[in-house]
Amino acid sequence: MNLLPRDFDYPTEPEQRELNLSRRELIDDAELELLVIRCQLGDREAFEALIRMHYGTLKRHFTKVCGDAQAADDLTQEVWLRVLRGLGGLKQPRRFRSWLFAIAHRQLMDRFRSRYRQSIETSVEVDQLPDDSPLESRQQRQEDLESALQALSISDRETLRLFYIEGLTLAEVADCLSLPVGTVKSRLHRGRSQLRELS
Amino acid sequence: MTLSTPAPDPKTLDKLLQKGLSTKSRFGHVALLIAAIAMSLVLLSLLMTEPDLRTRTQVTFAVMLMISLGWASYAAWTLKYRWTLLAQHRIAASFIGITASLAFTLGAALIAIITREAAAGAAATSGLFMVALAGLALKSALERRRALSRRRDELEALLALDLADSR
Repeated sequence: MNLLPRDFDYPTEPEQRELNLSRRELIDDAELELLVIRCQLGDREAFEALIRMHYGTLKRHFTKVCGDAQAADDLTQEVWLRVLRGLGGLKQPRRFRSWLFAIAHRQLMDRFRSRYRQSIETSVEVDQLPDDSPLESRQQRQEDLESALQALSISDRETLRLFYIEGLTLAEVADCLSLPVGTVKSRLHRGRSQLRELS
Repeated sequence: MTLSTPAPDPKTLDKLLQKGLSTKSRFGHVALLIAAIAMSLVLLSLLMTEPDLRTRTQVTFAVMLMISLGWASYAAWTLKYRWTLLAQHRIAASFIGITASLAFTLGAALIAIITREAAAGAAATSGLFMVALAGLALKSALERRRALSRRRDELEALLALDLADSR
């Protein structure tokens, strides 16, 4: 029996790879949602798995945004404490990642507010900025982008990092930072322009 | 999406879990909430049923009522935003609420029967309101657990299907 229409176009290899990637992302999302739900049901092992899964991501985020390993360590633990205390109240478990980064953002802002007068060094090496040549691996590209982001202000750096490195959508970034989507877009635009100027 | 980064060491993980999942803090606030509501109801009953009290006493009771309402609000806020209850915590907290409000109602009813005091009668009536409130909290907690369990089962089935497909 012929189930496909005659003019059916099989996806090209790149298209199929894209489809597989989206499927993988859906499965990853489902796994994360399941883990969060198990936590909300009170499963201690799920909490352990959740922390193991995202602890490093968060620590790396703080290290890159505030540029201080010790502060990043403290901030990571503070955020996880808030997460463990507040996870029961999370209405949409599938939005865990944006919720986590929203807490991280608030914690970071609290930290900066308390050190308001302290100057924040954003030393930048121009030769660390990405060039236009194709890079060998995705990891290398991320590393280069991470280095380049150090050139930006903390707010732009955080926005670009959430969007390009953590892979949050525009709406999720806006939600995390409590900003309108338009402001996030303009920060992304400004950040990209600054990086282009510096490169 | 992100680069692989190390997980916390076991000691840090254990410390985090102990601090973050503390039931002592959560149930401490549940107890505070119940006690503050009970105190508010007693004071409200006294204010409503004892019009002959001296103004000074009435003002004192009103101030005490404000204080106990403040404590109740603080505990409710903390349980909603700071130390949220997990599904099974909510069920346990609702049972504690039902038990405490039943004890309060029965105690007030007993005093009302023995002393024939109007304030005790009013407290017993408002105790019934507390029992109803705790009952509603239990219903909502059970529904929440049912919804979470259902979604968990759906996701487990979906992931099992994906695992079978990939083999």
